[in-house]
Amino acid sequence: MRYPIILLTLFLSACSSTETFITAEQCGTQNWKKLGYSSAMKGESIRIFDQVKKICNSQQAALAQPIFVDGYSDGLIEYCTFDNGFKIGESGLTSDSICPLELRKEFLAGYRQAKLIRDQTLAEMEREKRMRESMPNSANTPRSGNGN
Amino acid sequence: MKHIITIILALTFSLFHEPVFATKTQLTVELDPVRFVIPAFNEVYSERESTLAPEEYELAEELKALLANKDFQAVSNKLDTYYDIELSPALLALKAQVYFTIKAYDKAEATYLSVLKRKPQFVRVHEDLGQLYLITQQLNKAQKHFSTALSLGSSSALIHGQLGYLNLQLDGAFSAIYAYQKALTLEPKNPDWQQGLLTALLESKMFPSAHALLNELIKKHPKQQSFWLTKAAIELETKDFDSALTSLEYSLLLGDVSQQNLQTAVQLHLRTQSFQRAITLIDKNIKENDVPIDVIKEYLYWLNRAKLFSESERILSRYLIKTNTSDVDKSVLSLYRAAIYAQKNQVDKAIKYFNDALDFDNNNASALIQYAHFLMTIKQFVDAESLYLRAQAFESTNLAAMLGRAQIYINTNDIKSAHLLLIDVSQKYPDTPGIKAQIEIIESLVRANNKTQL
Repeated sequence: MRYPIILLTLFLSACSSTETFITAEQCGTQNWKKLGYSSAMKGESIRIFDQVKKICNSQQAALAQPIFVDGYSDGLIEYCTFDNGFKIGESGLTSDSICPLELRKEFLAGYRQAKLIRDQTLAEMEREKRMRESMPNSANTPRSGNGN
Repeated sequence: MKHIITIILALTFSLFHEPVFATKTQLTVELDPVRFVIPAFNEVYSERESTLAPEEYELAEELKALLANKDFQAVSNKLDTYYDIELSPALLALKAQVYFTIKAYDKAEATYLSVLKRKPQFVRVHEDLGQLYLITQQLNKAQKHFSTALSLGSSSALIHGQLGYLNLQLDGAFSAIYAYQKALTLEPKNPDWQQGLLTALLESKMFPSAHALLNELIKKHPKQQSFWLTKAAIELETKDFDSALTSLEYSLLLGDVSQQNLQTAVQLHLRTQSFQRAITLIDKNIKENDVPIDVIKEYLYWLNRAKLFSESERILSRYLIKTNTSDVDKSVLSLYRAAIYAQKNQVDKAIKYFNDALDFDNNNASALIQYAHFLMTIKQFVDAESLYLRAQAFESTNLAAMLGRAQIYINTNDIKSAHLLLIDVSQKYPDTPGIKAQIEIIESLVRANNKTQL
């Protein structure tokens, strides 16, 4: 039996937030729309912009916010799709969705479908594993060979 | 000879009387400018067509309490703690509405647009954004969003009505009619839609429909003067002068009307020969308003035509007492007085006022020619000829003056001079009706005279 490829390597979404999001030097030169877009595509929360508010001065932050949010919204439109939800579900990541209400339904449908498949697959693997373990000799019996 | 005299006199009369007495005044009813009311923004904070996200319920309860106290600033502050993308379209639309209410129009516009970016079919947001653009006089944008709201299924009478207004302003009356009709269908008692539809129908010149609508409105509001005036205006347009006069009289019963409307009422009374009422209104008009001289001339024309000379004289006197009249106008009015006395065969008074007319304005061509004609009728041919010669210098009276002189020559048996003059007339004005026949008659008279002399 062939199982779908399951990415068992869990990339913790939190990892990215440990990286430096922005430095003070970038406040005046940043392409905020692009940054907003890429943040959404990485599944970052919009609250990541709070860092901008802390690092940059208030005037810079006020000017940057609508542009960042605009880019972020564009990113969400691409991020919050059925396919992307499916990918996230397939990878076993949590469904802490950044998707707004109107896009959430599609995203979650993909996510739940993938999660169901993944859970079934894992259950199947677990069942097979248990079966193998319940047969004492089977573990040492070579599976390949010409039967001689 | 008598036959020729009659014809030339008739020709002359028609030529020199026309410029003085012709009435070319347009009959119009002046209507108040239409006031379109943009209803105040509707402070209804419903969820509209978008729902709250489950995680927003608590926040929504909090906002509800603030909205109940009309504490819009607090609502705005609370919502500002969220990034727009964190709010559902429903709450974001609410945020835009609050900005709109506190007149932060730029923020409201940006917020509405961000809602539509996320939910392009959010009908109420199209409606509200249209209202915002309407208030900020961005009519093309308002029209676009109202149209979108309607195409997405809005059944708001307000939106239909506002679109009617915008179509009327931007694309002409015809495109506004349907929108106003729809609005009126949904809110049949709304005076804004009634007025809007009426205006659209009038501007599209759909007079029967406008008239029918007015009749319906007058049934409901018989004391609304503007309806009667509008009705009169339509009836004038459709040349139904009797009905127009009735409508104008109703509006007069309901209160004062503008000078223009009073004048129109007078003119209609004069035309329908209800002189007594006309004279009452003329007196009122002269008493209350500065009446232009052309209007006075119009009155005099009709009164003189009805041979109400004493009324004409009285009106002239009242007018002259009240107004600071220019010499040119005094000349015109003196000519009217002269004409009145000429009609009454009061020769001395007629001559006095003819002379007055020329003293006030010696370029009054009509006075020259009428005076000449009057003198000819009382056989003062020399003075008449002199005046005709002066009148001949003016283009407007040139032909009439030449014919008048020809008539003098015929009356004084100077047939040869009359003949030569008529030949001049026929060369200069070949289209003068009957001129060739007159010349032939005179030529035969000349031949007859020559034979007699031989």
